[in-house]
Amino acid sequence: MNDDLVYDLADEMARDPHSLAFVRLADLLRRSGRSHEARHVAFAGLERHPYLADGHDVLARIMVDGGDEVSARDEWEMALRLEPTHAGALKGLGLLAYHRGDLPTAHRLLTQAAELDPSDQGLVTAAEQVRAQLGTALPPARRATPAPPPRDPVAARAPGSAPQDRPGGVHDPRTLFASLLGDGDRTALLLDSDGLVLAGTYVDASGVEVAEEIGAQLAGLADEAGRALTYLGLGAWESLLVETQHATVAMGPSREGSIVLVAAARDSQVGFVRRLLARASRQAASWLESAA
Amino acid sequence: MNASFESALTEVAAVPGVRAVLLASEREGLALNAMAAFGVDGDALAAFGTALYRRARLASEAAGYGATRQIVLDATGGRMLVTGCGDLVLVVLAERETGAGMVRMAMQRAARAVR
Repeated sequence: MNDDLVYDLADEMARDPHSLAFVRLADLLRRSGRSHEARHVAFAGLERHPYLADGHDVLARIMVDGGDEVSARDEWEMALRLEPTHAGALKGLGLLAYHRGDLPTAHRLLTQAAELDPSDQGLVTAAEQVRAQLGTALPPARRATPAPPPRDPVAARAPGSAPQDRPGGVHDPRTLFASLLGDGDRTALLLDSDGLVLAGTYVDASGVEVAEEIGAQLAGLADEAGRALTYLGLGAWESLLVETQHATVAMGPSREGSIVLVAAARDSQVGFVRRLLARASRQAASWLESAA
Repeated sequence: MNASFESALTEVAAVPGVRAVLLASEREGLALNAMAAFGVDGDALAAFGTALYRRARLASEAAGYGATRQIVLDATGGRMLVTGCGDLVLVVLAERETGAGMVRMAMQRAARAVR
């Protein structure tokens, strides 16, 4: 997380409790996994600015991160009542519609949001994927050229890259971790012992699936860790966390030699990424058990 | 190696649960300076710590994540942390129950001192 920015925004709020900086501060806190603080900031801000669509939008994101889709929907609908062309609210409601399997509504909302904010590549990809699922004219879904590496995991794991699980369970292994990941700044993969992708997805900023490339690069790291532990007599590995310039990556072992990998933007707190890994590992183990 | 780095290294070693701390060259995997408890193989720790860091650095760059700053490897019998300092790496071996936060802070101070 950009601690300086959080500090500056919190300082601005302290000096001027009526500042609109609460929206940005709440979103930064949300992205770093500090959901309790994010919720507090958003509520306090909305008490002062109840007619600010952006405030309801950020609160909805906090709600959906916490699994409360009903409240999130209420907040996004409120944002749209206040600002009918609010792209964030259209996007959020579109994803919720997708989540419950209402593809026509999801398509309508996501397309409208993409038209309002064509710079959001993840949104455009999401709209295209829903469109493809609806059976309309299908644009090329994948490039034939090699995938470029993701430069920013925030952009890389676009909302459309991980459609939510549908009611009744996970039908597509690509969506296995969708319910854990929230909105747009995290990704998770389940790899087999050879680094091949079993579940999850990873789409780069240009909408290209790069899960296999990422999996192959990082699974080798787990092998190296295993060798080190064996020689040093430190027992079995539990997790490996790599903090890099642009992302925090964590991986851990799962059943039958498989590996769970999660990545989050560098501004995510390390402790949050570890918790995300633990949750993804439980989900992966359950999925592997049911698939056995 | 200056006095402030020696002091920072000592500070890392003083964190409860830390069993070894060493500075090694990433390229050769050889320890330049080490403080290790009895029974810890400092040479092996330097070799494997640097190898793991190098692998992480290459994988992270290939994956588009940019420069590697720190890695933390947790195992049932201990915890290894590695931080890059230019062409050197700082490697710490600690008990599994050691608080990673304290060690990370001390390592970051030491890394700043050696740069």
